[in-house]
Amino acid sequence: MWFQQLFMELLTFWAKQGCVIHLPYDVEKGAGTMNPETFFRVLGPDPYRVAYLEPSRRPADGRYGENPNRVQKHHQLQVVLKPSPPEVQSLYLQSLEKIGIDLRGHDIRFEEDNWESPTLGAWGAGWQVLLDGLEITQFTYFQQAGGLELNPVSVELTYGLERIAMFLSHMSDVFDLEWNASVGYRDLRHADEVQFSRYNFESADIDLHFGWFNDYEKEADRLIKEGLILPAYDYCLKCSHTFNVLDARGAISVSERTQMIQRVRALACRIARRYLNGEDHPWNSGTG
Amino acid sequence: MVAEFLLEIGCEEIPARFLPGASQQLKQNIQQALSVHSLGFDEIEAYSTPRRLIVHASGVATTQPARSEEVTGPPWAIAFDRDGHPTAAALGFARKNQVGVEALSQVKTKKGSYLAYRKQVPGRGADGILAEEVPNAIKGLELPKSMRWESSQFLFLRPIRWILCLFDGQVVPVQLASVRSGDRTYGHRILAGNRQAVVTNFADYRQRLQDSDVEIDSMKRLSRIQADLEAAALGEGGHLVEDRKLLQTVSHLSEHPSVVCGDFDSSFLKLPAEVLITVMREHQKYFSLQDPGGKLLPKFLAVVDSDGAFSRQIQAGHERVLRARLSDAAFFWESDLKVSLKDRIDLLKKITYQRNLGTLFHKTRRIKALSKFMVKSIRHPELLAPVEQAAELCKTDLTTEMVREFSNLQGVIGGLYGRVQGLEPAASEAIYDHYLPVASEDSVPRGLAGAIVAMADKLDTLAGAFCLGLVPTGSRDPLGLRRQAMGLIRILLEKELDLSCERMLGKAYEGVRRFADRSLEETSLIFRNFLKDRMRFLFREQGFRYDEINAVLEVCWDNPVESRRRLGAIAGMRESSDFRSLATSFKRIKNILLKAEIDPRAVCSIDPARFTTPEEGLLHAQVVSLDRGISKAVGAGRHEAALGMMASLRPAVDSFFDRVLVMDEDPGVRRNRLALLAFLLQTFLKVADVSEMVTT
Repeated sequence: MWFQQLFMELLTFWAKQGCVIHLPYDVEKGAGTMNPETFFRVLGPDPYRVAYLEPSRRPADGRYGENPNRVQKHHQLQVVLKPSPPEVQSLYLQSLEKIGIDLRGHDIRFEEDNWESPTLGAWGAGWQVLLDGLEITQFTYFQQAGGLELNPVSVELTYGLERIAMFLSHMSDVFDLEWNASVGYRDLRHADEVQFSRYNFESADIDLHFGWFNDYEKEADRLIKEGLILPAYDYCLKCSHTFNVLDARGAISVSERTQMIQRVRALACRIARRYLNGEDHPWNSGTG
Repeated sequence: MVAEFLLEIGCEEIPARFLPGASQQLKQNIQQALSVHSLGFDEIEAYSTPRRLIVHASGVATTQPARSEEVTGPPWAIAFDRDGHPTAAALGFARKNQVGVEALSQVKTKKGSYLAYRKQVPGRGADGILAEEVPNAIKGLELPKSMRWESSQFLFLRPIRWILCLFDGQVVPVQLASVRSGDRTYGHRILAGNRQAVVTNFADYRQRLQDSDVEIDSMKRLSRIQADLEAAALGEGGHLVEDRKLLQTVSHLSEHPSVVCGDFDSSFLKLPAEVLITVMREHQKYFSLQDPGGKLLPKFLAVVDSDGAFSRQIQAGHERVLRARLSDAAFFWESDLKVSLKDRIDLLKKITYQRNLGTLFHKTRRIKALSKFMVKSIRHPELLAPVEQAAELCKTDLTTEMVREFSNLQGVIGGLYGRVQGLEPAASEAIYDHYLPVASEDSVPRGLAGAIVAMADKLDTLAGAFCLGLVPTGSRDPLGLRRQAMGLIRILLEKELDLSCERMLGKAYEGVRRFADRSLEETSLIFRNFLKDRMRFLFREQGFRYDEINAVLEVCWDNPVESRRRLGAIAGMRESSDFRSLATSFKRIKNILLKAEIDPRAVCSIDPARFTTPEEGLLHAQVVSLDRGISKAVGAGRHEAALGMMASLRPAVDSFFDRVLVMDEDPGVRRNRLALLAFLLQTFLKVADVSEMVTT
C-alpha cells in the first residue's frame, strides 16, 4: 500500500464515522494533539468528531536521514471522538482491517501508556497499541487539557503513519516507502531530513531562538489579555517549537528546561481557561 | 440453602501493573461484604485477565440466618398498675410492635428495669444484599491511578464495558457507570471475535471462555508461559535468562499467551549482554537466551496474545521491531564511545543534580572527597587510585545517549564504557556497581572500591537532603532516601567495614555546607534517627528481637558492624538468670536517677569516704575494678565477656538494693549514692542499654 493510500483510507474510514476531515494546521508542532482542532475542541461540552493528517516536527529525533527508523518530521493521523463512544476500541480495530491488517494473523495488544504533554497541561489514560511488538497507535482518553478537567471525555487516536506503512510493506527503512506509484518517500523527504537535522543540531542561531521564545511568549501574553485567544494559541505553539529547536541544539540546561516548559504550559492553561470562560480574567476587554 | 456467586467486570485492557492488586482487593471486598451480612460461603476465589476482574464464591448462603433483636420500651415501673394490669404505656408499646402485651418481657439494664420485646427478624435474601454490595465492593477498590471515560464521571482503571453478575443462576441487578449487569460474557477479542456467550454458572462460564480462547487464571497463564519459554529455549539449544518480574508482567498482558521465538543479527552481539537484555526487556518485554556457557544467543522469546497459527508471520514482525531497537542501541553505543568518560566530566557542570545542591559536577567532587576520606579510614591505600578515578567518572554516563534511553542502566553503562576505554578494572567495576544495592534483593558492590564509591554517593545524597531538612514522611520518599540509607548500612555490614557513620556524615556535611540551611548538629540528628530506623528494620528482618535492637542502638548506632556484634552477644546472653535480674536492676537504677533528676550520663564525683554502709563500698570497689575490664573487652570486641562481667555484679547490686536506702535524709550521703548508681549505669552503657530489655 502506498503511503498516500494509507492515510486516504483511514480518513475515508473516519469520515464515515461522522468525522470532519480537517487539514494540518500551518504552525510547526511536535504532535497532532497540538492542532487547535484537538486542543480547543476537547474543551467544553459540545460533541465533535474530527480526523486530520498532521506532520509532526521533533527536532531532537533527526538523524540526518541516515537512520531507517527515526526522522525529525513524521506524519500522524489524528482522530478525536467527543464524547468517547463505548465501541471505540472495536471501531479502531475495524480501521486497521480497512488498511489491510488481518487481525487474526497478528499479535495485537493494548499496553498501558498514559500520554502526557507537560507543555499543554494535558494528560490522558490509555495505551500504546502494539502490532507484533510495533507501536502503531497512541490511544488516549483525554482527562485534562490546558490544566482543566475535561467533561465529556474525548478519545484521541494517533496513528503513526510511517510505522504502519513500513509494517504493511514489510520494509525496514522508512526511506524505502513508496509515496505513490512513481514517487518514493526518499524523493519527498530525504533532503528535508538532512537539512533540518543540520539546522536543528548545528546551525540554528541560539541567541535568536532564545529571543524569539521571549518575544512569542510576550505576544501570546498580550493576545490573551486582549481576548484574542486563537492567535494567542499560535504564539504558544511557536514558543513550544522554538523550545524544541533549542533543546535539540543542546542549548538548554536542565533547570532552564523545566522553567521553559513551565512557561509554555502557563500560556496553554491561560488560553484554555479564557477559551472556556472569558469572565475568568479581570482584564478581559469584553471581546473574548 | 446455598448457591454460587459469580462476578465478572469486563473492561478495556487494564494495565498489567494494577491487575493483581485490583483483583485481590475485589475478592477481599466481596468476602468482607458476605461476612458483614452473615452470609456464609465455602470458598471464594479471584481471577483476572487484562479484560476482566472475576470473583467466584461457592456455597454462599441464599439467605441470612434469622436473628432476634431486643426492643426496649417504657420503664417496667410504669408499665403495670397496682393491680398488675398493663398501663397505656405498655399497651402502646405492644401495639407499636404489633404484638399482645403477653409477648413482652422484662429486661434489666444498668439504668433499671424496662419493658421489652424480643423480636424475630428473618434473614434477608443474599441476592438483594449482593445487589447493594457489589457496587460498593467495586467503588471501594483503592485504585492507584484511575480515569474517567463517560459522562457519569465514574472512575476506574479503564472503561468498564460489561458486567456479568450471577447469583444462583439469576442475574443480580447492578449498575456501574452506564453499564447494567447481565448474564453474558465475551470471548477473546481477536481469536474468538469477541464472541458473546450466555452463562448460567461458573463451570459453564469457565468452559465457554476456554472455548473462546480465554484463560481466566493468571497463575495458569504464568505456568503455561514458563513451560513454553523453557521448551522454546531448549529447542534453541540454550537456557532462558530468568526474569521473574517480566514473567509476572507478561502473564497479565494476554488472555491467550503463546511464545514466539525470533532471531536477531549476530552482529549485534558486539554489544554487551547487559545492553541487549535491557533493550529486549524494557522496550519489547522479550526474554533472552544464553548458550550453556552463559553467552547470550542472538535470539529472543516474545510472549504474544495469540495462538500458534500465524507465529511465523508474527515472528517476522517482532524481529523487524527488535532490529530497529538494536540498531538504535548500537548507534548509541558507538556514538557514546566517541567521547571518553573523562571528556564528559565537563558536561556534568551543565546538569543540575538537585535544586539547591549544585550540579552533578559538584556532586562528583563531593563523592571523591568522601571516598578518599573512607579509603584513609579503612587503611587501604592501594584503593586510592581506582576509587578516585571511579568517583570522578561515576556520574559521567548520565550524559550518554544510552543512559538517556535506559535510565536503569546508569552505572552499568559507565562501567562498560570505562572498560572499553581502558580504565583500571577496579575503577570500571566500581563505576558499574556504585548504585548498588537498589532493591532489597540486589547484592552490594562486588569489590571494596565499588563499595566505597557507592557509600560516598549515598552519604552525599543523604547529607544533601537532610541539610535542607528534606526528610521522607509516610509513604512519600521522592528522593529514595530510605533506599539510600538501607544501601549504606547493608554495604557496611556485608563488607564488614568498621566505620563511624557520624564521622562520615560530618565529612559529607563539609561538602554540602554551603547549600545547607540546617546546622551540622541538626543534620546529624536527622541522620542518626533516620539511620537508626533503617537499622531497626534491617536487624528485625535478620531475626533480632526489638528489645535487643533497642538496647544496642540506644548506645551504639554509629557503627552498624559493631551494633550487630553486640546484638549477637545480647541475643546469646538474654536467657541467663543473672543477666535478666541485672536488666531489672538496671531499670530500677534508671528510674531512681530519673526521679532524682540526675542525668544518667553526667559524670558525678564519688567520695568513698562518705559511704556509710559496707554494701556501698563493696559495689563501688567492684564497679571500679570492672569498669576498665568492660571497656577493654568492648574495645576488643569481646562483648560476651563484657556482658559476663556485668552479670557478675549481680550479688553486689542485689545486696546494695536490699540493705541500702538510696534516698538518705542527709543530702551529701544521698548525692554520693546517686553518683555511685550513675557510675554503675555508665559502666553498663558501654555495651548496651539493658534497661530496654523485656525480661518477663
